[in-house]
Amino acid sequence: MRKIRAGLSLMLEDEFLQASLPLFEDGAVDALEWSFDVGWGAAPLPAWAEALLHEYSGAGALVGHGVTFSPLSGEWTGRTQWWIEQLQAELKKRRYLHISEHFGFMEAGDFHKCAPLPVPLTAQTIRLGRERLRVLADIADCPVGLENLALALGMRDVRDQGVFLSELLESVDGFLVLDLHNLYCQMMNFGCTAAEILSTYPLARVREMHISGGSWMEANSARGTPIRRDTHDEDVPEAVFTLLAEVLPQCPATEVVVFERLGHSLADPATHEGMRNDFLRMKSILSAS
Amino acid sequence: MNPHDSTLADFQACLLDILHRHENADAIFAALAAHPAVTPFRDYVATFEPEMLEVAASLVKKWGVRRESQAVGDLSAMPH
Repeated sequence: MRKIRAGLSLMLEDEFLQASLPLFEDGAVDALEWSFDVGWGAAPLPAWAEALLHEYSGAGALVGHGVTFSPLSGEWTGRTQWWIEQLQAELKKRRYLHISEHFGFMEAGDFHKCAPLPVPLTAQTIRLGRERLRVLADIADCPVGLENLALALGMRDVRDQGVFLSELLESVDGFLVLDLHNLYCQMMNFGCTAAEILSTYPLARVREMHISGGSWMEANSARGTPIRRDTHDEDVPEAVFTLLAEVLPQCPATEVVVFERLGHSLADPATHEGMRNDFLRMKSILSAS
Repeated sequence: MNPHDSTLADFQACLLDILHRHENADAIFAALAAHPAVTPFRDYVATFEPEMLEVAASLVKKWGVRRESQAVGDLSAMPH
């Protein structure tokens, strides 16, 4: 019987430490996910965060999750090259089970940072994405993967993302980070079922999943219906827990499921308790799978 | 030689700039229609839904950082 690790995404805020400390003390956190590039060039990490990274890396239970590589940007910039060089240094510093990045692009023109946005599926963008993933795979001494994106600008993005991910990941025998709240956002915003979207996804390549909460945003115009957003600042919706239980059997290669919650959203004891309850519920679903 | 696609790069630069400058979907569509970098991607842009464009515009305003900006752009606070 497989054991799927219950992972936690490391945040650097003191509130995150306060909320998650009982989970670490109880040995409930089987794996730690670290978005290594948010720490590059910034202030030194808190000592407690360094200690956690050291412990989980040493135990072979650290997974890496980049934010700013921007694998589908048309342009390869000096910043992209710097990112690659930083990753090489990072991989010498810490041992990762695997590393992943986000589908889409966040750098273009004179914007060097942004939230990730989708990219149209064409023969040219597939070729570009494969070349970028090859760069990652060539320097990583571990599997590389991509996470599905929450934001879609239209139904074409929703329909094409699974095919796009398949085409990219196949080229490096990479893995999919299946973010279930991102999937939930597309279900809510485009009136689709999970089965309709997942029918196009390479589920055999899922090695990691993410769950989180989000929020609703009132639309300014158009249909006037609220938009589901992947904000990681509220409790996990019941529907996402249901998705986790339903999707796990379809993804037999899953090794870790990571719980994500922004540190600044953990402002008081009630939110701390809610965060811990969500994590433990996720863990119980994994144990039952 | 690092991979590069200048046609895609020009479109992406144009899209981010327009999303950063406008909030309303009608204004965003109009600006996209008028920009030559969008021409190769006209069919794709035609599939955009107005409310999702406005969400994208709000995200670019919140998290987008221009190269000349002195903003720190703390992406550790961005959901990902």
